[in-house]
Amino acid sequence: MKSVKRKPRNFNPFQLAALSGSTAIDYMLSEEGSSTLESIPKEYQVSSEYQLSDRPTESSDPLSKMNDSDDQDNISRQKEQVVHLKPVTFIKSRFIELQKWEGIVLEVSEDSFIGRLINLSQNDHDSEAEFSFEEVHDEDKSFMMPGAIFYWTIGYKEDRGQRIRASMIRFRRLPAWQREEIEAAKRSAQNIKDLLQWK
Amino acid sequence: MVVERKPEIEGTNIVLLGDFNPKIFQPAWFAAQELIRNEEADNAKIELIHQAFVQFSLEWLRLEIHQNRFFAGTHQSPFLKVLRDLVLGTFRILKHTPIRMMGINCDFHFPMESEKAWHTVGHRLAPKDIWNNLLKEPGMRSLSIEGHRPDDYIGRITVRVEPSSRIVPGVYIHVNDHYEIKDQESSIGCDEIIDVLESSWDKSISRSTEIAQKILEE
Repeated sequence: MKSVKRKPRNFNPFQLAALSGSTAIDYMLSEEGSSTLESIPKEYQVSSEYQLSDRPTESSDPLSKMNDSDDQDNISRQKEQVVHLKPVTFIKSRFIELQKWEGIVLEVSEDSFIGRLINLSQNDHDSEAEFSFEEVHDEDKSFMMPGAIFYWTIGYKEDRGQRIRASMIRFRRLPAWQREEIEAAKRSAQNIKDLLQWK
Repeated sequence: MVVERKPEIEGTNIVLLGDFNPKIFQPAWFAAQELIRNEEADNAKIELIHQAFVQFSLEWLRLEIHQNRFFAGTHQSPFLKVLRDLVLGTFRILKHTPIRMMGINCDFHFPMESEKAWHTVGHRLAPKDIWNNLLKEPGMRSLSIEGHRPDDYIGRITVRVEPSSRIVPGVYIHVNDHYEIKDQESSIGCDEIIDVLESSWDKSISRSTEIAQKILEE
C-alpha cells in the first residue's frame, strides 16, 4: 500500500460529507456542489456569536476527518470557500469498551434496581444484576422504572492521557409521547386482563 | 482460530438526506425533548447555529445539519445505540420531515503489526501483477467495492479500504450501508426510513464489523 503523507489544508465546512467517511455522491451536500456554496448568504461569513478562524488549520484531532484521501474529492471546493470554521474537534476523551450489555429494568427499590442483562459483547446467556442508584446519572433517574431499557458498558475512560476504569449506565430515551403510549398500552392490556379475569 | 482485530479508532454515523430546518436542531431543543441530558445541552460545544446550517458536539456526539442533510455521529462504541435512539427519537417527533435516503456508516482504523502485514493487505485486495507492468512501484491508494443489498430494501453497500492516515502502519475501512425509500416522488414524512433504521440497525452494525474483520483476515 502507499503511505499517505499528511499535508496542511484549508478546512472547508463543506468537507463535512468527507468527515462522515463517505464520499458517495448521495452524501455530498448537493450534486451541484459549487452552486450550493455560491448560494450561501453573506451572514455565513461573519458571526458575532461564534468564533471563526481567519486561518483554519488542520485539526490535530484524529476524528476531524476520517482519512486524508477524502481531501481529493474536495480540492475543487476550496477556492469557493466562504466560511472558515474552527476545525471540528471532539472533546478529547474516549471510552474503551471491554464489555457491554443491554438491560431491562425488572424491579426498582429504594436505592437500587435489578435488571436483566443481555451480553452484547459475547454470545452468552442472560443474567441479572443489581445496580445502586449511585451508578445512575441524576438526569436518568426519571427513566428508571420496570420495563425501561438501559445500556451498561464497562471499560476504560481515557481523558487527556489519563486512563481510569469506568462503568457507564445509560437509559434509553424515547420521546415523552412514546413513553406515554407504552404506559397507556400497558394499562389497556391490564384492563383487558382484569375484564377477562385471567390469572 | 481467527483472532478478532480491535480497531484503534472507530466511528459510526447516521446520515439522512431529505429536507430539514437546521435551526430547530439546537442542544436546548434536544434536551427539551428529553433526547439528551440537560447537562449535555448546557455543555454542548456549539460551532455554528444558522438557519441553513447547525453544527455542535457533545462529549459523545457530533451533529451537523444542513437543509438537505442530517449527520449524527459518534466515535465511542458505548454510545452506538444511544446515537440510534437519538435519531429515532428526533424523527419520531418530527415525523413529517421528508427523508428520502439514509446511510449507516462505519469507519475503522486498524493497526497492523508490521509494514509487511500492511502491504499484504494491499497486495491481497489489489494484486499488482497488471500494475507492475504499467507503473513503477504501484501501491494501493484506495479501493472501493459496491455490492447489492442482501435484504429487500432498496440501496447498496459500499466498502472502501485505504492506508490509514491516522495509524501507521494501519488500514482504514469504511462501510456505507445505504438505504432509499421505495417511492421518492410521492413519499411524505420519514416513517419509512425511520422504521428501516429501527429494524436494521443491529444487523447493519454487525455486518459492517464482520466485513471489516473479513477484509483483514489472512
